[in-house]
Amino acid sequence: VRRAAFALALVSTTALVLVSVVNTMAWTTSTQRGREVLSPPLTPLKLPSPVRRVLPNGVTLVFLEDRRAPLVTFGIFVRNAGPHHDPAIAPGIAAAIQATLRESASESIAALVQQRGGEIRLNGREGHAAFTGSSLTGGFPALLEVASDMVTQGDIPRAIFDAQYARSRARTAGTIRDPASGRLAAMIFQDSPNGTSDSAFELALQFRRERFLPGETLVGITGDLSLNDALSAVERGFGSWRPVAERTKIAVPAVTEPAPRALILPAQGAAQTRYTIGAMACARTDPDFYPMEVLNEIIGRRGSGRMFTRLREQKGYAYDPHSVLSTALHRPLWAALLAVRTDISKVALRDFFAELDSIRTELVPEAELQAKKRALIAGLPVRLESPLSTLETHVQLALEGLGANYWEEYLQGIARVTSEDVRRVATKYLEMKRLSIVAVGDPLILEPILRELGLPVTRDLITK
Amino acid sequence: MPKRPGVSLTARAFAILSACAVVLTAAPAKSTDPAITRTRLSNGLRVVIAPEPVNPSPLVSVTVGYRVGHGDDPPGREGLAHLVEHMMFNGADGVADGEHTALVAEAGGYSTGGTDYRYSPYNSTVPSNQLELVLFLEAARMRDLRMTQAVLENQKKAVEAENLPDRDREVASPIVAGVVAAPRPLNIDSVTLAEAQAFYDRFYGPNNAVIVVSGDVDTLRASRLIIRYFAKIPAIQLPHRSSGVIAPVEARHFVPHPTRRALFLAYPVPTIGSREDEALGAFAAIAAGPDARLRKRLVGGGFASDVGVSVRDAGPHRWVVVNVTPVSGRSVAELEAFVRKEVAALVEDVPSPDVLESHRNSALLRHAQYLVNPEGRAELFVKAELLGTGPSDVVQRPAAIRRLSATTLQSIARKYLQSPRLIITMDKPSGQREGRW
Repeated sequence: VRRAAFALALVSTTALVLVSVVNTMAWTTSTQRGREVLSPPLTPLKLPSPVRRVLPNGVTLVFLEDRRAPLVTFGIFVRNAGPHHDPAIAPGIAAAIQATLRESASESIAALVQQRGGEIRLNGREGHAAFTGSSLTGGFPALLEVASDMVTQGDIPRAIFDAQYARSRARTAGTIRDPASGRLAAMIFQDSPNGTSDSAFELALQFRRERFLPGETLVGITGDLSLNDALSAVERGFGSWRPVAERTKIAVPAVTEPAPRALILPAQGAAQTRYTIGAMACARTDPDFYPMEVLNEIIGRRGSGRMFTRLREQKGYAYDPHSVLSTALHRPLWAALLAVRTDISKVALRDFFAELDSIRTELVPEAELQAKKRALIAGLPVRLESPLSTLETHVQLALEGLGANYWEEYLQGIARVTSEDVRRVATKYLEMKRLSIVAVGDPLILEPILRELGLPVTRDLITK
Repeated sequence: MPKRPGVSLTARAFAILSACAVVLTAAPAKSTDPAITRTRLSNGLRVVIAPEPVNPSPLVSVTVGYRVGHGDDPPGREGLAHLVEHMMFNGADGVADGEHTALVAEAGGYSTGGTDYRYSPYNSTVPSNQLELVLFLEAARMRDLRMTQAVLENQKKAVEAENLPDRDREVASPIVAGVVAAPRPLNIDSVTLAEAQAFYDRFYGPNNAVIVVSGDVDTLRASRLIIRYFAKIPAIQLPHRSSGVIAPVEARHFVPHPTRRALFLAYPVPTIGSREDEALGAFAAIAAGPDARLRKRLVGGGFASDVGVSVRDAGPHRWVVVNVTPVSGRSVAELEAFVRKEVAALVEDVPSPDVLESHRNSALLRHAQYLVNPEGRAELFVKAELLGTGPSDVVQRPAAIRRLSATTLQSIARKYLQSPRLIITMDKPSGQREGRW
């Protein structure tokens, strides 16, 4: 009975109705039978709406009931405590703090997991710290208690922090398997490579004290439990949490556009070259965001963007060429990822830049534009594919300072984008003179290719 | 949002499917969830419709799994199954070249494909009102995939590019590669269009496949659509498959590796879907756990720096693989003899109630995590139907996990881990010096 009641409630509590926007968009006609047979207008889709509750100390619960399996998934998100807020002289500190808190609680977590099952993972990125986890329904209250202790009371022991900070710095210094994306962001946002663990520890204590605050914390819960049970668990875990410092205004220094350059991460004799090519973009709150979102869909959508169709399906250069748009408030970034055989790396790069040139100089055909806009609008429900992505979709609104009806605005914003808008933002953000490149491969082969582009080329400065 | 299927609705859907189907089950999946419909069309296509009883995500996932994989690559054409999987995303009857993925994307979804040793799953996950699009596309490529020389040549490059990260590693024969997780051979440069077409014709037919529709789905409507799009696709002549009996002798292999050293002992066990499947997984997870005897004896005794136990599919078989990272300086023969003795002695290693309970909780959690992901849920049913005994493998798995006992695990060790059939050493290309690691 309870489940049936919930299903009814779900239908009646609609957050978004996609149909009104989608059906106003023309569906491309085609002589292809597939399109003729399969071009019905999209029918209404209703997305579930989460419940929000705010505790007196400012901790916010975002809750969505989901009775499909005896499973509860949760995330503790702390605004302004993620990697984008690393002090300039200590890059990697936010990730190290999260790992230290997790490591310090490892015995409690291990004991709990041993008894009841469950997991707690670190998922912080961009501007926020995040601890996510899941457990069987019966184990959830105990797991959330351990996780909340970790966030509200967890220590930063010096020895653990130093080890975690060394790991975090190694990641930003490019010694892990896929360093290029992080290095590209570090180049564009001009991170300092010179953090030291001596200064970092004091900075970490300050960061922990000033940024892990109840008013900055959202607890997302979805799964096989009632709102009352979720609220009780959050009150037990977070209700008595008092800030140890005043909430400080988060000031983020403006980043000046850097001069573009190329960086080679050497891999002598590698059969494959991996290019990561990008530039500073715009935040989700910027009016340019909607055309940038459509532009990214056109260029780099996995499986159907121009990079995929032209560089893989037509040329066979690469397995999974694609691009990503990160719209974080303080470090928005667009990046294209292209992994190709070393012997064709020059021609593949040339063809990639030809695609960028084309989108800067020519209007996107109307049929292509409509198809990509439709994909973005109709694809909104896929964001709710897993319990964690569902939580993140809802919590993202608060993390990025967006209104509760943001997803409706999103649909309208995408629907309004024109071919001219796309060309304008392509020219503004993806000009050759703004693009930087990180290439992982054989330096002897790569250096002349990159110099031919007119970029100053350096080799792995940070690790040397 | 579609109506939720109840018993009567399921019965109606089943009646519709039965009208042109050879019924496999007397009632819709009697031994499983009553909402799950399972049947077979007259052309041999197995159908599983698995609506979620309560589904907050308005998504439907369709997976068509074909009983073809790496294991069906002809000798000298290693990688052909993977190449044909790539070509499945190109043109088909009524679908232009490259349009398959684009149409799914424009409908707000995504599509993926994969090649396992024994099967190849093709999944599309879309907003639930776009189910018909996916069924149309899947039927089109099952009925008549269009292959061209240009597409073939480009997809050869794409498959090679996908395997590039493995280029610098040593390649092992398929069975050994499966056991030690090494790269498999790739031999597709000279594959002709006729060979690719013949491979498709041989394996890609309705009677060698299962279609699973899972998630926010109306069973009645899905049944009608499946009949509309799939019922007229002709069956194919099914390939003969050998039973793959393992010879009762030991086989030894050496796999060169630039950095890694390891000893693998592989023991053949029943394939997925057997009654012992759950216990085999539990045995592997527990046998090398932090407090397990095997770890204490090998790592604590100074023979190895690490030890792992896993269940792997390699060749036409399943194996329990014991993977030991040796300590430098030990005699190769001495280590192998010690590991053999210790594995055989696992019958004495009865897991404590706490360890067993911990494993049960972890296994139940992982299973629940699959169930709330549309693509993961669909693939569970595909594997169960193609390689196991059917949807009951999925639905009854929580009960099977809860039934696990120390006695069962002991009997597994007693029954299967007395004598390895594959012994594989991995070391630098020059091999061990003077019989030592």
